[in-house]
This record gives sequence, C-alpha cells and structure tokens, in this order.
Amino acid sequence: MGQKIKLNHICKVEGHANLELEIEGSRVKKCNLEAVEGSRFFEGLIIGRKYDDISEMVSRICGICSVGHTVVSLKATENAFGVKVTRQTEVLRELMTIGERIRSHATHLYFLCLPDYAGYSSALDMAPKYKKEIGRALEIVKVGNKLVRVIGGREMHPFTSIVGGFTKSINQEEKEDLIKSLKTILPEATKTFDLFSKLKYPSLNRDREHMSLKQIDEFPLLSGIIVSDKGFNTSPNTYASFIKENFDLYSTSKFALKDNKEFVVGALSRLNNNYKLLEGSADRLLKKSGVKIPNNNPFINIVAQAVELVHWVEQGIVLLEKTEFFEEAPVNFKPKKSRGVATIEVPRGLLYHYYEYDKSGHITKANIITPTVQNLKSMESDIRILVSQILNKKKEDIILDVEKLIRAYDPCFSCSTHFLRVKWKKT
Amino acid sequence: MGKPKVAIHSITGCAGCQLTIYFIEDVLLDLLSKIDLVAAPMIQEKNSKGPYDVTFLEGSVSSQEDLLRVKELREKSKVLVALGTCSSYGNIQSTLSYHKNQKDIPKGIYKTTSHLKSVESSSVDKHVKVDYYIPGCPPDKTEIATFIKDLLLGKTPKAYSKPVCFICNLKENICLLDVGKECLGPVVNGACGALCPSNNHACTGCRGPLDDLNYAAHKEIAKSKGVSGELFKQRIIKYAPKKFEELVKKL
Repeated sequence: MGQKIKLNHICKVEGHANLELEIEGSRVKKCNLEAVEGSRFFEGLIIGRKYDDISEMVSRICGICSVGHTVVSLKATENAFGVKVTRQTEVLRELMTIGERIRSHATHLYFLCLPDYAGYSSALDMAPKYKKEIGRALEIVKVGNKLVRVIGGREMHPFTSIVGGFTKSINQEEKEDLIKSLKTILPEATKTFDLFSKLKYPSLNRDREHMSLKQIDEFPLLSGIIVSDKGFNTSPNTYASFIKENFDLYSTSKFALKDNKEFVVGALSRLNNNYKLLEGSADRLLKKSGVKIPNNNPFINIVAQAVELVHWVEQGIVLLEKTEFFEEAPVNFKPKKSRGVATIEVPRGLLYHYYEYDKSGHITKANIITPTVQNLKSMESDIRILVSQILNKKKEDIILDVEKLIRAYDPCFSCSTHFLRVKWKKT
Repeated sequence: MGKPKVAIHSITGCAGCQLTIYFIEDVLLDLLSKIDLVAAPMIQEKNSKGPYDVTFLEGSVSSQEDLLRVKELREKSKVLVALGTCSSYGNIQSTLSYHKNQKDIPKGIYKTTSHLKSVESSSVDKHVKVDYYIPGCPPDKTEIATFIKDLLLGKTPKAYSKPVCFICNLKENICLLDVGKECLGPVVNGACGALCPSNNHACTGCRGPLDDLNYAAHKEIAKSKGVSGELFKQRIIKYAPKKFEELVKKL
C-alpha cells in the first residue's frame, strides 16, 4: 500500500472518533478524544489548483456544512483578488447559508440530540410514538434543503456560486415559493424552540471564552469582526496571530488554541455575544422562556440552536421579501499574486479559510481551521469535569451523559459519537 | 420473506451521501418501513454488527482502519453498494498521488505523520468486490430511492450509461462548450440529469466517467478552449483519477 504521502489534513473530525477515559479513584487520569477519521489532506490537494477549482474541491470537506465551506472559500479568494461582489450575490449566499443553518440545526436537534432525552436509539425508532415531532423535523429539513437547492443548484455541495457571483439567480416564482415554504415552517420552528427549551439538561458550568463573529446591527452570519465574551476583538485578517493549531499523537484531528488557551465556538457562543441583536419571534421566545443568556453550560448550545432556527427562518423570509432578484453576470476580475482570508459562521462555529495565490491564480498555500478543531480541547476539559461530577453513577449512565455532552457541541464527528467506543479503565 | 437487513456505514468521507439518504424527506419513513435498518451509526445508537443483506458504504479507503473495515463489511454483506463518488471512484482525496508536488507538501505542514496511519486514498473496489455503484458527489436522491425499490422488488438495478451531453440535448439546454465554457459533459456519466449545465455551470465530472468515453476527441475540444497540459489533467481526474486512467489506457 502506498504510504508515501503524509501531510496536514483537514477533514479530520467529522466521521469517526473514539474517547479514551482513565479514572483513578475519584480522579479522571486520562481523557483523550480521538478523531480517527482518515486523512484527506485537502490543504495540500488544492495547492497548484486554479482559483475556479477551489470552492468546489473544499466543499467536499464536509457534507453537513458544504455551503459554509463553499461560501467562505469564495470569499477568501475574492478577498485575495480584491473582487467586490454585488449585493445580490451577497444576499443569495446569505440565503443559501440560512438554508444550511436551518437543515443542519434541525437534523442535529431532532436526529442526534432528541433520542438521548427521549430514551430512544434513534429518531426513526421514535417515529411511531412521536410522529408529530419527527414529521416536523423532516418538514423543517426539507425547507432548509429546498433553500440550498433552489439557490445553489443542489442540496449538498452547491455549485452555482462561483468566484465573482453566481451562474444563475432565482426568479419571482421561486422567490415566492421559498417565502411560502419558510412561512409554513415558522410555527414548526417555534414549536421546536418550545420543545428544546423545556428539556432537562445536565448542569456543567465553568468559566470559558466564547468566540464568534459580531456585526454592528445584525446577528452575524457571513461577515463581521471576531469577538469573545472576555473582551477580545479583532479583524479576521489577524487570525494567524492568535489562533494556533497543534496536534496530539492519539488523534488524526488537529486542535486550535487561542493565545495558548482553549475556547468555544458555535451557536451558544454566537448567542452569548449577540443575543441583544435578536429580533422578532426569536427574541420574544427567548425572553419568555426564562433560559438564561449569556450561559456557561455547554448543553445549552442545543437551546441556542433552537433560537437560531427560529431567527433564521424569520430572517430568511425578511431577506427574500425585501430583495428583487434578477439575472446578472459575475463581476470581472483578474487573478494576481495575493493572499486572502475569510471567516464566516457555519452551524458549528467559526470557519477560517486562508489562501495564497501566485500571479496566474494558482494556490500556493492554504490553511483551513474548522469549528470542531477549535472546540476539541474545551470538549475534553468538559468531559473531564462532567465525569468527575458523576463518578458515583453507573458506567452506562456515565457513558450516556458523556455522549450527550459531546453531541451538545454538535461536532462534525456527530456521526461517530453515535458509536463512540469508550475504552473503560477503572482502577 | 422478511424485511431485508440493511446497513448504512461510512469510512473516510464527508457524510454527505449518508445525509442524502436521510434527506429523502418525502418517502424516507415509507422507504425505511419496508426494510430493517439494522445499522446506521450516524443516526442511531444501537447497531447490529452483521450479517447484513445489503450494505450501503460511503467514503474512500484512506486509513489502515478503513482498510480493515471494508474487508470486514464485505464478508458480512450479501450485497455491497458503493454509495457516492468516494466509495465508487476515490473522489478528490485520491488525486493526491497524481499531485505534482506530492512529495514536498507533507514536509511543510506536519512535523510527524506516522500517527495518521494513512493509506493511499482509493475507491472501495480497489480492495474488495463491490456489487453495485451509485456514484455522484453527492448521489442523486431519486436514484438512491429507485435503487432501494428495485432491490425490494427483486429487480437488478441497472447502471446508467449515457453522457451528460445526451441529457442536455433532451432538455434543450444551451451547449456550454458552444459558449466557450470548459464542460466535461461529453465524457461524464449523465445520471445526474445534467444538473450543473442545466444551471448554467459546466459539468466538472462528479458522477465519474463514461465507460465508452471518447478521450481523444474530448482532449481536442478542451484544447480548443485553451485547456491543456497540467490544467487539463487536473480537471479531468478530479473525482475519479484511477478510473479515468484505466479507461484511457484501454483505448
């Protein structure tokens, strides 16, 4: 077997992960969250590729957030070449991202989290008894998918957005249909918030740093500065000066630290830093629910996703209603020797893409930092604390609580945390 | 006959193909009620270790663990279906061995790589026999649903074998090659329904090559669009490098 190629890889998390726990007396001696997903080396693969291949290739890093990777990649390339896209292009990208946010949150809430709290193996097993809830989940997912498909050309790995614009816009009929679909699921999104804000979550409070984008007058999505609830604020361009990636020998995933300390990204971080910018139903529901924000409990990330679900369904409607869409050609540009960085909010948190181009528009260097890489160390610390709090519980219950915690973070290896193998060693 | 025992498993990939199955929203529950989904680790906690009547396998073989898993899944499955382009053709990650800088890249990025336990990324059939292929990045929902229905009815699912251009003609799309775009339509399988050209985007080949492609003719077409040499190679091998190589050698 050819083992000649070993280099940095990016899709290291979504898919398969193990957890190694070692408990000694009342102490958690070892807690290693091991990503065992095989390496695909995306940052290396795109070197030497022409600018119009890049977003298409990096989209394949992740099916669950392929819109996110596509959009941030296009923005990084456009930033490098100094391309200023039209407002319509921005709006279409926002809408596509909103579609992905809706389907990703609904999938995570109903398919990955809810079975744990309802005591089932899967949402499919729940379907006979909880027909309404599972039907609702599928309806919401369907509309999120539709938004991505109508704008992006297909649900997974959308292709109509290219450097400088779109290959096509949407017409009046499609616009009206999307508005109608979003209006249909708005009550369903509200019911989703009601359901998830009332679940009983384990308590796990500790001091932590929540990082997210921030915009002046809107809940952040595709632009803004990077802030934290510890008073940090900076431009995305400086990312390399504060975020450092490293790796553990037990994992195929890297992890990121900010100024050598762990931090958290994702829906709860966005909410903690931006809850004052919520509008309409999301704002009303959150205030009425009594859920405390800002919040330091990672399990509340689930509730934060439900808040965002309502917010983005409603904002999707607003954005569609106020925009007139028309066919327009992508803007002209010339590739040049350059570097470009872009940071956006994807369902699981901040996503950074950084590229360097040569004068003919071929990539010479790339760096990609995904949300799960940023959350990894915080997850490990939380698992340690949680386990030390519940040592008197039965082994199965400890495992279930740990799994719930990992899922609450919505890591891109959600898939594998559902067959999390816990190596149990108790001395 | 009882319901067939079906498994949906994954090795190294992006989870997009599995999600595509779970996103067949309208008929999902109906379809699943006709089968016994005994293993689907992405969405359920309790999963049978086999044997399975049918296994849908997503992802490419990219690590030593993947290699062990595909061998194990082959043994346990009566029917093994390669789901998606990673599983069928190796996808983008398998172009690494064709990268002109492949030897220089690793040194610049990682201090040590032995812990990654990588193997050269490849399709599943490089290592074990595959019974059916549903390529596409991602595969088409309707195609997956039809495939499952065919299996349930005892029909042999048929592989599609017409080019993207054929579908474009049927749909009366404007030919993107005619307007100067670099479209792979002539050499790529059109089971997607010519999705990209129908949205004014050139086909980039994610469904994989046609078995009877006219490589020489396409090379000339590409050259006339200013695409040749390294760029031509990069474009044509993007999703299915080994398969293209194999077919071109045969010509």
